[in-house]
Amino acid sequence: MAKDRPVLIIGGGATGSGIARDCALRGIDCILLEQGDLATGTSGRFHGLLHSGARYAVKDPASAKECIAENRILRKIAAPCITDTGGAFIACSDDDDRYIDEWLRACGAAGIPTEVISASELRYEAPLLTSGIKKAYAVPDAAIDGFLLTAGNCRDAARNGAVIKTCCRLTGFTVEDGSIRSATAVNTRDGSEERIDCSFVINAAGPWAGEISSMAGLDLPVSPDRGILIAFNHVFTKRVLNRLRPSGDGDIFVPHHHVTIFGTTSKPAKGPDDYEIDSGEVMELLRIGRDLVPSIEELRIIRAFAGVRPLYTPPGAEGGRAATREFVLVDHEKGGGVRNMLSVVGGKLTTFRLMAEQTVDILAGRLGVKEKCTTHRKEIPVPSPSAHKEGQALICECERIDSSILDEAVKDRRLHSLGDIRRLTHMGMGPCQGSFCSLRAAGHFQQSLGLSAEETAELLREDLRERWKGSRPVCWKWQASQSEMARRIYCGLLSLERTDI
Amino acid sequence: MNSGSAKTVDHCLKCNICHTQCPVAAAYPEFPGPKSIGPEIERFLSAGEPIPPELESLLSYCLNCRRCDLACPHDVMPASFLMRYRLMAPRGLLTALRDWVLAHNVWWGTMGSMLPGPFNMALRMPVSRFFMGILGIAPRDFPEYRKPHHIRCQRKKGTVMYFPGCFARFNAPEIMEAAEAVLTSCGYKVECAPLGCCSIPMLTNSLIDETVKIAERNTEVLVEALEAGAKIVTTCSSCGLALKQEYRELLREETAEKLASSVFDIFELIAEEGHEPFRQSQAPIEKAYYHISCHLKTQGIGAPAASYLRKYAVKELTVDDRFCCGISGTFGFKKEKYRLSMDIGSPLFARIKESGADTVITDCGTCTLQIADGTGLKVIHPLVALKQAINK
Amino acid sequence: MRYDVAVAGAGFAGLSAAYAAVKKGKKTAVIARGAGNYSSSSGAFEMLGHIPGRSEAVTKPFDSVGDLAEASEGHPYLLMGKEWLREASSIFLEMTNEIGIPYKGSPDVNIMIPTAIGALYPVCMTLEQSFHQVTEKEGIAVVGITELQDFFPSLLAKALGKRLGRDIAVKWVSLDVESGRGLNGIDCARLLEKAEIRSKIAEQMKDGLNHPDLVIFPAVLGFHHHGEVRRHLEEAVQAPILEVPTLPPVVTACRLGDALRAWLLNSGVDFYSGVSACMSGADGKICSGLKLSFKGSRSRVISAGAFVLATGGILGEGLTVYPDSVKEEVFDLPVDFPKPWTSPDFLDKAGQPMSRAGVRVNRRLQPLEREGGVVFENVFAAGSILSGYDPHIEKSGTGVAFCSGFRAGLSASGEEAANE
Repeated sequence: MAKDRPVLIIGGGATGSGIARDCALRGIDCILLEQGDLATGTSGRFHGLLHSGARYAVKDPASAKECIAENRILRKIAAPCITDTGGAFIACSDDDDRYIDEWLRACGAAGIPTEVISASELRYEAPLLTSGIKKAYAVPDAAIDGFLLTAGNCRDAARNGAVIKTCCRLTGFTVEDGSIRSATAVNTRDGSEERIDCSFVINAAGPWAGEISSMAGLDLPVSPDRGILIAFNHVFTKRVLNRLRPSGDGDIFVPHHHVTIFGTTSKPAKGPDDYEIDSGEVMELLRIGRDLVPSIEELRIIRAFAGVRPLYTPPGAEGGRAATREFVLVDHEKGGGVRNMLSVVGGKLTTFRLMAEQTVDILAGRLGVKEKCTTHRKEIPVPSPSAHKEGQALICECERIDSSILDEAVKDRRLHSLGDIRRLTHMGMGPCQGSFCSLRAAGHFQQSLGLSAEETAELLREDLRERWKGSRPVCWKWQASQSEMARRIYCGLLSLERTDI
Repeated sequence: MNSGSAKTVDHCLKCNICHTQCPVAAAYPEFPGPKSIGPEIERFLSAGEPIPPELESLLSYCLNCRRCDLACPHDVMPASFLMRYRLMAPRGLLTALRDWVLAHNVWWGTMGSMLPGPFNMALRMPVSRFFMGILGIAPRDFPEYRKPHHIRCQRKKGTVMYFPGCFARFNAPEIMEAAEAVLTSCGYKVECAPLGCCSIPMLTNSLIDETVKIAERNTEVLVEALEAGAKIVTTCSSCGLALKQEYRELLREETAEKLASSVFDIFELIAEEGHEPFRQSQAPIEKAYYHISCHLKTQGIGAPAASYLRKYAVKELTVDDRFCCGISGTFGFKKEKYRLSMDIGSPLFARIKESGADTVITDCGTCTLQIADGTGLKVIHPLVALKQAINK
Repeated sequence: MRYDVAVAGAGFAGLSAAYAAVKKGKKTAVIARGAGNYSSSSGAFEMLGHIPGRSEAVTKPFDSVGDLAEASEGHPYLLMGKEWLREASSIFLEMTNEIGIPYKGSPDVNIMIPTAIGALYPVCMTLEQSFHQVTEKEGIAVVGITELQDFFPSLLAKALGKRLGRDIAVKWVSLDVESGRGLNGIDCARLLEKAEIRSKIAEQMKDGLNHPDLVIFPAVLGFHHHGEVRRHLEEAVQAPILEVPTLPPVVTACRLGDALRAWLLNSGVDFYSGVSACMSGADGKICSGLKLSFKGSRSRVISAGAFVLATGGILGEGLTVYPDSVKEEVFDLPVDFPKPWTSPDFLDKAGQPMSRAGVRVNRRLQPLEREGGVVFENVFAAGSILSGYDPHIEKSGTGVAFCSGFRAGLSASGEEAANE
């Protein structure tokens, strides 16, 4: 094994970026490949919840212990992307009393602090909550921004020598004598191909992990499992809300920036990017949500999105909600696969750092690197968009984002899509979903980056088409009116649909 | 229907129609408009964030004209959010004192109408103006206080309880006189409400506790009259809006709802009940401009006086509801807001001039003062314009 | 309160209906929840710009109306008939004269106006002074205003230049106003009405532009005093100015709607604003009145001989969309609800099915029952509440609004239009 060839990390989500950071901090040369923009896979399609672990205490105590430990670590090292909302577990009148006791015991055993809160206190904080609350407990849940976190990991990795390549999709491996020698990848923007020589491969590709493994001739049993989430237009609970019952659908509300995220569901996915949602699924989720928020159907939903969980399901294991949420590290040397590939599957964003640590511990051993993990001690340089500067024109009025914030986000990187900027700044994440700010952002970048007319039109077209995917499944009431407004502007005033001629 | 609750924040489509109707944004570019300091801030506040500091100082520029509420096709009601935020904005001690003085116009009016001669003279004296200037009151003419017109006040006997408001009571008794004559001509028995101020000047100057107390008292007395079979009639658009809407938002009680459903602007009442207590005036006005005030427009009753004016008292009537006069009650009396208040009104003054009218007609008391100030023309209430046409 | 004609909706269709009723001497009321949403349309008279599904633009709108049948049989234009469209177009021109902002053009031919992103948009009539065929101009310059947050001259210039195959100059000017925020179209339009600010702009424009054939300017040439602002600036650059709509509020559209509304108010139309309406009662197939609710307090009933329903489609909330149904809010009329509701491509040139949702009507614009037959004899629908058309992809918004609005107003006034 040539030590001077870098380690290749596949997947630019929380796990992959966490591994890149850990490697870089230990002086291990690495390249990270991500097929889209950072955190556009599962890490960008979840609740945004930093678990206290209470949700897993009963069914997955080991997972719960990991969660609370990592929760505490992340609050120290990644504070800028975490909002300490606190959380509550709420048992409604129909929920099982015995489960409440079991849960309390399990939280205690896992070291997760719980504290009684009164129903009236909860309802004072969140007037929309049901009056049928039997028991409620506060836990140290928090909200975390997956995009900023991932970007922060990559920044730290890059500062310490890692190379981060986005819009770069793996197309194959060259295996010689039971070792991966190199990989081929294609740039999804311009179609150019490249070959990357590597000494080791870490497969952190989430739901695509199975596909990646098969490129090396290996079989990795990953069942993609899909869940949908919806974003409500405003924050109606400042605290994370969880149902106190065995994990089911529609259990969690997370206040996130200026919206409330609600979900989720669980069903086998057709593939790793099974993202299309139909409104029936949304309606089902809302029906469940009525338990905690009786007037949920009167609230405005601005977006629905889906995330695919990579569940490790070796033959004989259960899938769906029964599958373990623990993560799995597969060393492909065992069982006669390739000698230099590790796959890390499953887990959740809250424990990404631990997954990365364990993975890189094994990697370091194999490479003969003596350095120990320091990721839990060093702060992650999370990019935190600055507040709107007084006097600057707003590009996004819903979220109060001005052009200096956009310029900051695009510094030192190529602008591939407005989504790249959105993920780092919240531009376009408000009720209008880009109806106004998409044009302003495109116009601004055309001027500041000297883009061509075609590049600018493509930015706009791509952005609106992307936003539409989230509006379609919730296209009723005000969001339907908003979509008509967006069409009035982009077709009825700008004729954007005619620009590809 | 909610008024500016977190839920109506969900209705906003960012169409900017409210912005096109905001008279402050039209005159003062720094004012970001009702969409920004209404539903947009509400989303931030709901998430536990404070009002953006760059917007805090601009909150006091909202006139509460409610044109944004009227303009919004989606029931967002931006003004209701704004009114709540204004209460959160900090205020210096002298400013608070000045606002308190202006808000208590009902006291100065009561005194002034008892001894109008000396009071009016005192207000005009340079030394008074000097002290008012120090306090932060604008260097503009105060309306003349006059001896009131008395209408009997025997509760539970009338079929109409008339709520005149401060302007008619203290500064324009001819309005009360004409109101009594019109209502009597229609066959109503008129009682005058034994009440003072509607309390809106206190509300807009953040004196909430006092506002609530007065609103509760007013509601109690008026509902008593309602239950005895009377209808409540107003001649001032702002008082009318207070009883129909502001009390409901403030008090959120059944009595306030009950009251709101039986309050009528005088012309609204006679139009709805099909009265024609007028005949052709012997001395019609040649050319007049009827300014539909913001608070009249907001009541959602159209402008019922217009057709009576056209039919009986004015030969050539220009009617327009697009412009705000800029005074907004006490706003235009504040030294630092006076210039802006006149700027806000200038499109209206220009429109009036363009129409060639020599008389301006409007239902709102403070609009009367502002338009007189801005155009130099005679400004009167529609009842006064119709005075010569009232059937005895 | 008794009226001859009561119009529900104060958008362009509703105002057009009221205009028709006033011309026929009818006592008219306009009832609306808010100010009508015309400020997000272009301000031009768009009869027909594209046939859904086709790439090429329509050059002869009147002749092309028949082609709409391939996308939608129930298109309001096809129901009303071509002859009516021609008549309505000339009534529209007369109306613009009467309300003080004369338009120019004809339903026989479209001109292409540039959009803010440099695409081309076919319309048949615009404000007289802005009626320029940009494709025929050689020396074009685009002026941008630094404080205006919704207009990007360099994007327009690049894209339009590429489309027309010529270089287009860009000139930036500044209002020199300390506003502490970005300004939108109407903010700038009002500022340009101030002589001192306008003079500064005129100076800057004179300075930087080299005798262009046409100057493209964002739609901010004043609001109520458009003529004065335009004259001043055109004189300064010695060239005609073409206004291009910005993001809403679009001032060219605000002018048209505002002027029409002011004319109506001054002509004796009663406007009830800030109220929601629903039918109060009916005697068989004759609707008797509308119940107006003012923010939930006392409701009042307005009775009228005939009614026009112009409450807007999904955007105007004349139609409320629920996950599996669509409700018409005033009369609870049956609504066409296309399935599937949306198409996956936001920019689908065939349009979006949801935009076509609405109330189905007969040739007289009377709403129909599902099985056929009119719901009410004295109710007529107009504008985006009608089913069967997609204004955004067809570029037919103002055309349908006026042609159906005026016709509905005539019918409500007891008049029959030409081919009935």
